[in-house]
Amino acid sequence: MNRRIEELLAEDGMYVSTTSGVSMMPMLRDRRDTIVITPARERLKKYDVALYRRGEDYLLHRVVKVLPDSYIICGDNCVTLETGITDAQVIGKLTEVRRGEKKLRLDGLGYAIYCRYIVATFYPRKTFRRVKGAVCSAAKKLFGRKKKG
Amino acid sequence: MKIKDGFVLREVMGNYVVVAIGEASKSFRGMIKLNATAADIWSCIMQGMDEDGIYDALFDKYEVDGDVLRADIRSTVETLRANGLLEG
Repeated sequence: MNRRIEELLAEDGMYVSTTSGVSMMPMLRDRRDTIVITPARERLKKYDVALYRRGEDYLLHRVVKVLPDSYIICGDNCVTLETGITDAQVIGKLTEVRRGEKKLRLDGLGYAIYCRYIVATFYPRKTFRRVKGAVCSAAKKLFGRKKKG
Repeated sequence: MKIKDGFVLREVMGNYVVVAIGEASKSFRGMIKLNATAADIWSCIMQGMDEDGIYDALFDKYEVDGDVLRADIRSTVETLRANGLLEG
């Protein structure tokens, strides 16, 4: 049953699955939410969530900037931008999310606000993580080692 | 006969699709499309029915020959079993 996603999309016009990983938290929860992917028939727009390939891996992350020949993409829970993602790498886009029996609206005002918030707070989130990492590292050096005896 | 934990039926864009969630999604990464009859059979299995129970539940709903319905039920159950979605 583990056919390639490209095959399923070509034959059925959609791909339904769950996601694995936390890179799209809080929107998509690891192995819990159901996603529906449809083929990307035209260029993606800013805030679309793209399913694309990087080598053998499939990734589902948000478009944060559309360039003439590529996209800049980032997971909602990530602080690293992925540049140079081309249309050739894009397999489809997220069109529906189910949380249990509940369907999340991707065309509503709430989702539009969420997307803009996630993209607008990229640099503050990145800075916060760096500071947090530095503080944790310093704290480990200061208090982490306990001498025996 | 019961559906294995971690498999759920979703109606998506007019289609019935079985997907894996949680631990089951680690080993099952595809989807299985069901037609409306198979989706009904799935629902009956979820309610704990065996093949005779499913037949009784669906005979009145589908105006088909009893043998055809039994064959459909058997075929669907075999398909679900072959894909590892059933236990017992």
